[in-house]
Amino acid sequence: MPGTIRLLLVLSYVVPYGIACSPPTLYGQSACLECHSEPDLTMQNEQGNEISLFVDATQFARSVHADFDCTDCHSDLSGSDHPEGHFAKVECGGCHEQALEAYQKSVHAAALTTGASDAATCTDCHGKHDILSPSNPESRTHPLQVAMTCAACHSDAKIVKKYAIPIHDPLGAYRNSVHGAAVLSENNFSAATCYSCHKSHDIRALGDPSSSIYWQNVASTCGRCHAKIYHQYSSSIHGKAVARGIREAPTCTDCHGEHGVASHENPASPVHPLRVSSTTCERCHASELITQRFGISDSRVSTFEDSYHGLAIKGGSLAVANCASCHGIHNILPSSDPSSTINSANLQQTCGTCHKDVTENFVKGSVHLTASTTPGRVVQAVRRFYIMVIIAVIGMMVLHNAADFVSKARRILAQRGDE
Amino acid sequence: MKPLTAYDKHAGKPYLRWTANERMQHWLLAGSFIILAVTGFALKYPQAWWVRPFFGPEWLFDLRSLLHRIAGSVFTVLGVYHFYYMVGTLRGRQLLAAFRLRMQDLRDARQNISFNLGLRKAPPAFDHFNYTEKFEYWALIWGAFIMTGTGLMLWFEETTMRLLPRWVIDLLTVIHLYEAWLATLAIVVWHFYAVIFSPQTYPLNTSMLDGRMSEAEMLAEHGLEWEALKAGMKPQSAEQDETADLRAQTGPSQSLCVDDHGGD
Repeated sequence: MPGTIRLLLVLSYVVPYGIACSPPTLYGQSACLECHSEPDLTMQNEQGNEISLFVDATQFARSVHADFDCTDCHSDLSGSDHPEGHFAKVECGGCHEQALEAYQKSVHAAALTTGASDAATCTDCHGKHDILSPSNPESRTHPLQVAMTCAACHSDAKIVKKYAIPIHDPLGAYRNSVHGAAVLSENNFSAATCYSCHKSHDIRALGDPSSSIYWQNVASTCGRCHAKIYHQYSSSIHGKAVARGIREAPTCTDCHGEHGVASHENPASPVHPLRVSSTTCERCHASELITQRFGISDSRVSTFEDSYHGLAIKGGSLAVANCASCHGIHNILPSSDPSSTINSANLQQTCGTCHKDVTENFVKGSVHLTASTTPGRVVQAVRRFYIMVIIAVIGMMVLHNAADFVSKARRILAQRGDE
Repeated sequence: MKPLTAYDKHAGKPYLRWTANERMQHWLLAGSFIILAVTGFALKYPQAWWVRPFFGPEWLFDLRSLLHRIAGSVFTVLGVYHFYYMVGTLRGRQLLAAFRLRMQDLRDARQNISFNLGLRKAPPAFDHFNYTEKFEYWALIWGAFIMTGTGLMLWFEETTMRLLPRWVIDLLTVIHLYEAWLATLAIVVWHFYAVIFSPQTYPLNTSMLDGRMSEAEMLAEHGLEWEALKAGMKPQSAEQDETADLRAQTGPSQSLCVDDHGGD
């Protein structure tokens, strides 16, 4: 975009506001601060509580509004007299029109209209006389601070309980997440913080289809940063199913978690190689309801866990295959799809990732062997035969030796008695 | 000398039952068997209370795999050597003959069980190996073939999968597991009863430590052989070192239990 056009665009916003907010001169800053810089200045509000009327002049001088006069915001101050009683609430939206418009669609604004007095307004997040630019690391809305700003309510047990907010400590989870660590410990401010996913003024509820965190929108929200993965996922069986409205199909957060999202290398992550089969895939692929509903096999996880791969994972081996090693991660497709990693044409390559000299014979036959196939029935029959043999043989050994024990013990006791 | 009684198992003069070579074979077998069982069941039952504390770091799992393969190799080489020993040496051929299953073993089993149940007045007298020992020996040979065969095919699973259908791996895994259960339970229930918990034997049959068996034990456990030795039907040799004695023995009618007066 040519610089002049951009400049004109910027001016088209700034100039009218600049004119609208140009300070009238009834009360200059210095006049107000003559009294209001007194820390002990208080009054009683309508509820009869004592409230502070102190304005920290130093903080105000550092704020983005330092050049403004008090009356720019406290605009109901008219006439020449200092008003008795109470000022109207400051309307930030008078200048910040777009922010107000976005805020009015938010879950906070909606809550406020239903009488939730704790719902966040401008000042709860931005502060009052001390508002700093969001690019200032000390600002409440800078990536270094904003999680704590949101957490003031969202990790407050009383508020979370009062409004039945389902996520009870997002900050605790976020601090330990890969995003939280990047932002808070590594000063990587391009990593996600609250507003990266939830937006800032236009924060919408989970169940609102226009919300960035609505289940069908989660993938595109994550995809704003993770574009390549989003692309893979969108054409995977899971991505396509979510797009078609199948609620059981997983989106990003179903496998990775949300506020606590951790690297797959973190042993506590649900997608860590040692946990992904038993913690993540298992939740759906061993679920009676889901497998029955969609006609998919319910024995994928159990057959895996009985295999050497599955057992070695339980033993702590990182070398063996987990679900994702064969099926892919974000690009999971049914074996019938020619681009699936487990399509018969691709199996030699997939198994060959770990195994040497994978021949055609190597990949022939079912990996998840169930009793619905003839080989599966043979294996099952051998298992049952062995169990019966073990019970019969060991059972007879126990009986034989029990009789022998009693007989020998009696003879020895009898001989001792004779002596 | 005290009169021989069945429960005073140290009474009487000792007989040589196992040579040093055989005892070494036994303890190599016992050691490799125990390591195989522990490291094998640890793989199958990673959540068991006695396994969990050891699993976590990957190197411990890798150590488990390595130990299982080392013990399996010892077990396999021992099996091959044992085959040579039983077929290629005189002493081995004598043992093999003594291990041969006969109709008499079935009769012995029936009579011994009847006696134990109080249906017979006297127990049968046994020869060098009684029916329980023969059963155990051949069960061990059977199990060793199964475990070595399936174990090697699972060890070299990539070769197996190149040559055989994939489901054979599942079959081999099932056989290897349940044969392991059968073998381990048999050792605990059958072998440990015979050499530890049997009232005449408790706390331990020490013949695998020093190779010797007392006259009282011979009388109680191998009456037929004891009688044959007493009656001079089988030649006895005395005051000899084990191997020299064995070299001196020639025919198949030689006694397997040798009078060993070194203990007097």
